[in-house]
Amino acid sequence: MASIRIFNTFAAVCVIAVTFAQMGSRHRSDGASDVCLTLADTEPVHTPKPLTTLERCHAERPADADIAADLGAAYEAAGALDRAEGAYADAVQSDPDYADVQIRLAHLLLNRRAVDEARAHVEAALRVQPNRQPLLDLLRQTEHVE
Amino acid sequence: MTCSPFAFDMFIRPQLSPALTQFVQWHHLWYVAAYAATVLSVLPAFAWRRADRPIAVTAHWLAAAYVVVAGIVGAWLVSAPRLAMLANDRRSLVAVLAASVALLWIAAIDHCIAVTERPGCVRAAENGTTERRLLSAAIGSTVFVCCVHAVRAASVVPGAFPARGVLVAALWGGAAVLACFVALHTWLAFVAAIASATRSARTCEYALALLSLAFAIAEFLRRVVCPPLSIDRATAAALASAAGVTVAAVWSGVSLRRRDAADAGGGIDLLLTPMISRGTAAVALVVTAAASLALLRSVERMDWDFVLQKSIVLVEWACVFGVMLRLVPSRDEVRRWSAITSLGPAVVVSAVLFWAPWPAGVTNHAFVNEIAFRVASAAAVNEPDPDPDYFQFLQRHTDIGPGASSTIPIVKRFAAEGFVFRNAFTRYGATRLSVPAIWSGGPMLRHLKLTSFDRINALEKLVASDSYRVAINDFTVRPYLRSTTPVTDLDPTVLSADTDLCQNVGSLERYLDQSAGDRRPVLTYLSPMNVHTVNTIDRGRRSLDGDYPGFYAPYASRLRRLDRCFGEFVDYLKQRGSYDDSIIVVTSDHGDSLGEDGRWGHAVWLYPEHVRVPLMVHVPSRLRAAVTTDLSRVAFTTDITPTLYGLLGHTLREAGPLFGSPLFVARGAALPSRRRASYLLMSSYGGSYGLLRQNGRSLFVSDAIQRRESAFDLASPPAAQSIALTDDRRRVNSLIRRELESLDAFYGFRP
Repeated sequence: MASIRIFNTFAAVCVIAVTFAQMGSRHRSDGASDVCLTLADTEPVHTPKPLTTLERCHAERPADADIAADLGAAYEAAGALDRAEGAYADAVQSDPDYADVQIRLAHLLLNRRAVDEARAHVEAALRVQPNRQPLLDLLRQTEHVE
Repeated sequence: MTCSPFAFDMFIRPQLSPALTQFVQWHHLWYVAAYAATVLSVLPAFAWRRADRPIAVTAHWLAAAYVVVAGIVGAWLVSAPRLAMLANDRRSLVAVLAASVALLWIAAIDHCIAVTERPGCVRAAENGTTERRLLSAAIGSTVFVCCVHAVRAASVVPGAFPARGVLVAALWGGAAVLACFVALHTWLAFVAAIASATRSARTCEYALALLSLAFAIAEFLRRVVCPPLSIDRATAAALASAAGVTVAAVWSGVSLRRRDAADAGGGIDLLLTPMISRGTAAVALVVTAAASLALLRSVERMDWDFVLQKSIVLVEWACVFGVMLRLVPSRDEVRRWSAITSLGPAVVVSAVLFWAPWPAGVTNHAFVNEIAFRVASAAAVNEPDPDPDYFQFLQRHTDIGPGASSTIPIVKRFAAEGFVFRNAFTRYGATRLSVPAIWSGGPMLRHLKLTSFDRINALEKLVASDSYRVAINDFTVRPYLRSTTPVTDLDPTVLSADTDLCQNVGSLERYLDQSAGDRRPVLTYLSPMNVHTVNTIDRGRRSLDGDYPGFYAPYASRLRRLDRCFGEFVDYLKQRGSYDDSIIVVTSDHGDSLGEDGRWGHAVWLYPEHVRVPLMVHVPSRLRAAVTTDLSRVAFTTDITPTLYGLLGHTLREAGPLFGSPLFVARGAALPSRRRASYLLMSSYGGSYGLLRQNGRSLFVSDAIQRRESAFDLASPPAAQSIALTDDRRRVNSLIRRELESLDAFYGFRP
């Protein structure tokens, strides 16, 4: 009887110990794939980013402004200016203070003569980067286009 | 605490704790009182010099020797109180171990007296403690502890019941507490089972339970108390072992000398249950709960990494379990059901914890942050190390608002006239590293001795280069400025904790008026402690002028006072005609917790509220017209000194992500992007390291003290910033490791 009792209690100790040891992995949730998170942390000039990968990661992480900005740049390089405009718009919606994307979007809008929209984005960029000469030049450009 | 260089510098030397200072001051009198009490307790042994039993004679001679030796020590202490003379060296460890010897001596005498007076105190009964009683006590303790602390937790999350998320979190908290008590029950049942197979079940059960108690105390000290105090592992092991054995031995002596020792059931009962009636035990439960809640409330705001609160909770649980065991009656039971009472609870707890559909993030819920549930949850959820030696690697490097504008209208106007960097952080969680980092403009190594700080003090070099004079009130960097630097100390006789911006600016104005004939420019550095936790949490805890709905009033009221005095100083500069000839930087070296998830102060932590700081810069209009910046780009307090270099016309080379860089560039240029870079953050006092990424939106923290990791989305509202960890953690760990190795390489440091 004593040995059975020892066995039962020892088994109970093992069950508790294994449970506590495994609980950490139970409460760690899966997140975005490594590829997309690495993408968000990498400057586009350092690592080429395939368009299909960017599109997948943008779908996976729609609130990530950097991935949206990279996608817009990829579309722009491929000549898909409408899609580029959409991706840049997603980026500034996620991060209205993303001045560089505000500028890129302003250029695209200016190219298709959407002057008022372009000016709004330039002014948004100037609020973040006050007194920056290229932005002031771009703002004057919007006035001349009109 | 003197064994730890950090604890000595942080708590002992500046006499941060008045209670501790008082104890040290009068320790010789406390010793005399304790000596008198212990001599009284061993009086029976003095009559046994010629007793028949050897154990009695042994008790006599031990007691006699104790009276003599301890008396000599007492006289020595009274003649020259030694405790205040201890410094951060090996003598402190020797003193602790020597104090343990005295307590072990008393424990030995108590054991001898107990065996002499009541020979059957340990061997009396052959029946050990049963699994049924242990299980009943465990379940009863769980219910009681959960009820008491659920009430406390509900007060922290007001108006949230019966929201589903809170109920689920409460269930998780209860399950974690149950797991802890079932684990205790399981271990004690195992002890009782082993003892039942021996000839003297009660004696064996008592001895094994005592060993378990010593081990548990030692492990608690080694894992929970020593790491936040930065006590190195070898010293922590020695201290914890000595303390565990000593406390267990003393407690055993007291238990054995109980009047009812022979009748106290099994060995576990003898060790853990109080010798009171059941009616008194019920009252004791209520008193235990009330005392615990009162103590928790009194220490929560001045605690260090929850060490005191965890200690209180664990003592509470031990008391509750012991009283519950007293309340459960003993009766004969059918042994063959022991499988159910021992294995059954373990299986049920495992199923509940592991297989129940707990939602992700339940362990981070505000309800679970109540200290009892926090302790239980941390014990139940044992995060596996992502990399076997990652936390050891971190530990080896360790041995060394928005919404407040209505409170600070002056600063708000100042900000409107200048540049407000909305995404500003400190790279160090507390003063010891954050202030030197501002002056150096670069990385600080915890092991760096500040006596060699002048070699990397870039701001002092700028002062020398541009022939500035310095007017300063600071206690961190000031002692390490060179003697050749022209320094005027403002309010030098005011203690660090009492420094006040209003007083400082008054002194500064007088200094500027008196030295009006000196044409040299002035660098002023003020680090007032008006809103430091020592004034907003530890002292007073009162608002200076009424309520501030939505804010912590003691802090908000002092911030308002700072704002007023700052405004007076700005007006002074304008009247003097110096305002538009001055670069003014308003910032903080670090932030503080004001009750977020039960945290107060900054301690060894790296949470969002510790690393986010305000950063506002006023630039003279002639310079303002020539520069641009990016107000949303992540900025650091280590950028301040490089910014001053840049604004004053000096050219800086890019030194890498460990270093600060100018916040302003010429109008036609663009600031280098920081959006994709990763930045290492460090606690100044402990082994917490963080990585800031995605332009300050993502914070990942590796805590080598608690051996856990946390992730935060800083773009979310404060209450929702804590997020679940992802599989990205391994890559982030490698980034932190790489940054630390870069820091080591820069300083030529080998941990």
